[in-house]
Amino acid sequence: MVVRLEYYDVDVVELQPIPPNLIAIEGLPDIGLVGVISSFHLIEKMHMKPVAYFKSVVMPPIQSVKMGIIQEPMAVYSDGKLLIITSEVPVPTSIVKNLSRTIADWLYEKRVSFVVSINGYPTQRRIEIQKPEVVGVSNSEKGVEILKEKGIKPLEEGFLAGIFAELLSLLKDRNIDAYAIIAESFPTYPDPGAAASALEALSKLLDMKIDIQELLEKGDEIRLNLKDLSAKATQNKMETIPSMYR
Amino acid sequence: MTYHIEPLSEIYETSDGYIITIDLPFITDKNQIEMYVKENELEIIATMNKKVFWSSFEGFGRRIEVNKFRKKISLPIKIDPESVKATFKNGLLIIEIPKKREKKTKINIS
Repeated sequence: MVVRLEYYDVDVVELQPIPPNLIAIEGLPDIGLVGVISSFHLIEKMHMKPVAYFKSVVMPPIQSVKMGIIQEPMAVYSDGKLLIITSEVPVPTSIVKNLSRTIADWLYEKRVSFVVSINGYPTQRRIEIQKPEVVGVSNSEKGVEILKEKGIKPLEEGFLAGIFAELLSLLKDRNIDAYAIIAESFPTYPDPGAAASALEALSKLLDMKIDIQELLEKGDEIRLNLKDLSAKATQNKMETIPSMYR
Repeated sequence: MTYHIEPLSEIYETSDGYIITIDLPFITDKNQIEMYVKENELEIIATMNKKVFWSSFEGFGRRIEVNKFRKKISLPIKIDPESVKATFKNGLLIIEIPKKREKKTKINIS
């Protein structure tokens, strides 16, 4: 069964029925590709299957191919408990607002229980840091208390920019609890170490065991294969941030 | 056929000079890296510890076998090649380039 839903400039194509009460994880390309690396690690370890994908006339005309078959690059994967939104291609700056609204409306329609975005925040001194620190943000006071209870330090103050920032706000408008897990990351380079720290925090938040050893062992391969996507994601991210906040 | 690819790099300006970092996956030892410096250009060649497959958007996803990184960086100023320092840590090459101290002449304002 394929269901095509239209939101703003973005279509969501569902490949199978999506049950309610799933936990949604957003890991779209951003600083250090922390969300992308974390998402693909979870997808692989939990043998998740694509259940939906996003399409837009504003997206670059790129398809990935695996074993001769096209794969939609911006897709949603699930194992029946989690719903992971990620992308193998950069998200064009021009689509950030409409894609965020599409994701928020679609997650509302799918009646997810809550949403977690996984991200990196750029730090120039990352080279000196053995284990990146993680902070959390929520869109509700209750959410901040939950972060504290789970041992995730809330970000005291600062600015957020990008799809996850937009999503936190849009989901609040739709009465959906949302969190962002943000790990210290290299500004431009793909950062598997930051993804490992983010996944440790996610495992606390979800009370779920996540094996990160394999992710750390595959660090070189991840850094090499994602180098172009990381450079483009950083460039797009800088374009979305007003110059006074850079 | 084995190819070389360009690594990711970043350049920051500080009050004393420039810091360039270069991300070098599959490089584990400083002896795998060669670095050449001219007055306004750096060249880095790094040989990986094994041949690996890599594909890019520009190459239409075609996988190529690579075993080297190669990068030339044009510098915004002329430098003293002897003053350049480089360290290799956790897969990152860190290059420190001090700015040349130029003699300043104070002008009296009448």
